[in-house]
Amino acid sequence: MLWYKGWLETRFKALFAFMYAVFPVVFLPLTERNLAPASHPAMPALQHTIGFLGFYWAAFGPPMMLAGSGIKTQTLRSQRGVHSSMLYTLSLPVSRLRLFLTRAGLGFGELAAVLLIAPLGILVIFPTMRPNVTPRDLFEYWIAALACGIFFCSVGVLFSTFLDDLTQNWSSMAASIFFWWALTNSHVPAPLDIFNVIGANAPLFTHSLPWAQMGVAIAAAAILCTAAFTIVRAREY
Amino acid sequence: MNELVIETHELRKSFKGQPALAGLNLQVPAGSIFGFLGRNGAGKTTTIKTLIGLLRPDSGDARVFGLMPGDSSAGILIRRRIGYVAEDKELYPYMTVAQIIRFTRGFFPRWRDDLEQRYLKMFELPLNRKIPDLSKGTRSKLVLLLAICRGADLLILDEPSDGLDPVSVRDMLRELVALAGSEAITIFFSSHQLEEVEQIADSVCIIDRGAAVVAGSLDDMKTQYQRLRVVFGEQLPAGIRWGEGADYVRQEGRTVEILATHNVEDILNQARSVPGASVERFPVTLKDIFLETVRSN
Repeated sequence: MLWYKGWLETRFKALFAFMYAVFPVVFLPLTERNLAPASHPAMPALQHTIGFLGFYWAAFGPPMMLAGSGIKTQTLRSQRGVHSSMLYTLSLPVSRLRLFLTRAGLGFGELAAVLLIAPLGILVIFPTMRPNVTPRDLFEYWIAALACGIFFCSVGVLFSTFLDDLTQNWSSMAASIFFWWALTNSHVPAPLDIFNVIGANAPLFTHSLPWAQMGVAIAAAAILCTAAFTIVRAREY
Repeated sequence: MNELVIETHELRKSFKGQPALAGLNLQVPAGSIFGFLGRNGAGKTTTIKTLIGLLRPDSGDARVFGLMPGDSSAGILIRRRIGYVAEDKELYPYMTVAQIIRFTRGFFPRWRDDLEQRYLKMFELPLNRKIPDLSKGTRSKLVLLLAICRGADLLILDEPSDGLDPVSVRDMLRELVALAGSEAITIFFSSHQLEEVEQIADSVCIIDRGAAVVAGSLDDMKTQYQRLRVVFGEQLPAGIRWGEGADYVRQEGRTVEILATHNVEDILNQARSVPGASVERFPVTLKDIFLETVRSN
């Protein structure tokens, strides 16, 4: 029943996130019709563009959905007034761990669905790439984008434990941009550059999964979620 | 002696250095209707939140069904046997009446379909209407339904009649009495409506500044407590010290009002021994007890 509740809370905003993710797929082809094929000398530019798109999808989908969860209700942070239905949830015979896992799990699930747009969108935006990528490449790109997105989603989950709805939403986006800027403008070891898995090092180009970066992204997400749950478990309502 | 459903011992809780509970001792017998009274900010809601595990006490001990609500797994067991109505009665704004009933039912294997149908009809709840579209009174009725139908052994109700019209209040009180009688449910409820509490409670606790100032059976209290009015002749005798039991004394001119908690006859005799004094005694109401104890505290 908690999944049902979570879906009712987030369905419209998940739709909003979906539309947000579709936006470049609809509009970019109108302006980027002549983008180079993957084998063209302009390859680095293409990789950069795809990296930016991947970042857009993976980093901004989660805040959009988290914003949706937050606007409708609060499952992590109690607020007075319209959001105080939290007390009703906490009066149910469920553990805070279950509440937390349901909330985070639903967010990750919706993220996975929204990120399906990424591999499909790449083919729409860059039709010249079609001959060079296989369905397996697209699937692996989705997996890589998901690992990266889970990291951003976890940033939002952590923020939602101590920030109000609006602040949490903008802070998640700002944190995403900051991480992206910091990692792309510093010479971090390759396994730590988790954005690279949706950019130059994406499976679309390398034809293999970037296990190291994915592992780092998921480990970082696990740390963030553990911190978030520690806050939720200790919180008094 | 009755089994205790709720028991607290020297319960203490502070918020930012301000004590909300200051050594609260509480004993709620199984099967009782227990009125929990106090002024705004006296510590009622803090107590209730502690009992269902939403707050952790700084010190002291709280037990519900013999279990500690602060413990995660015990808290789940406790909440499985509790119907809770929060003070603000907020529900999920994106659900309809039917959806929240279906949602809540899923957590309680002992959900009472018979009571659900009964209250849906009695409260005339519109199943397809969204919760924000309900009036405050209708939302209060829905919250009551959701608490009662859980098949709970203990109902914890924080201001349950808030927002209800007089007819609904009367119906609710009747139902609570019936539930306590026929289903052996313990009802622990806080209220500012002293008349309501007096109508149905068999035990009460008056809390002030985070501690119980009066607690016990309401019938015993009404028997033991007496209000005395002593009017002296020309002048109040100097240095009069009332006997044991005259716990709450107020003086206005030549008139002294005494709320005697026990030893009433001795206090009466003491007053009558003063030449020219006239003495009247009155039965007390819960309101008298509440006002005097809280005022004196």
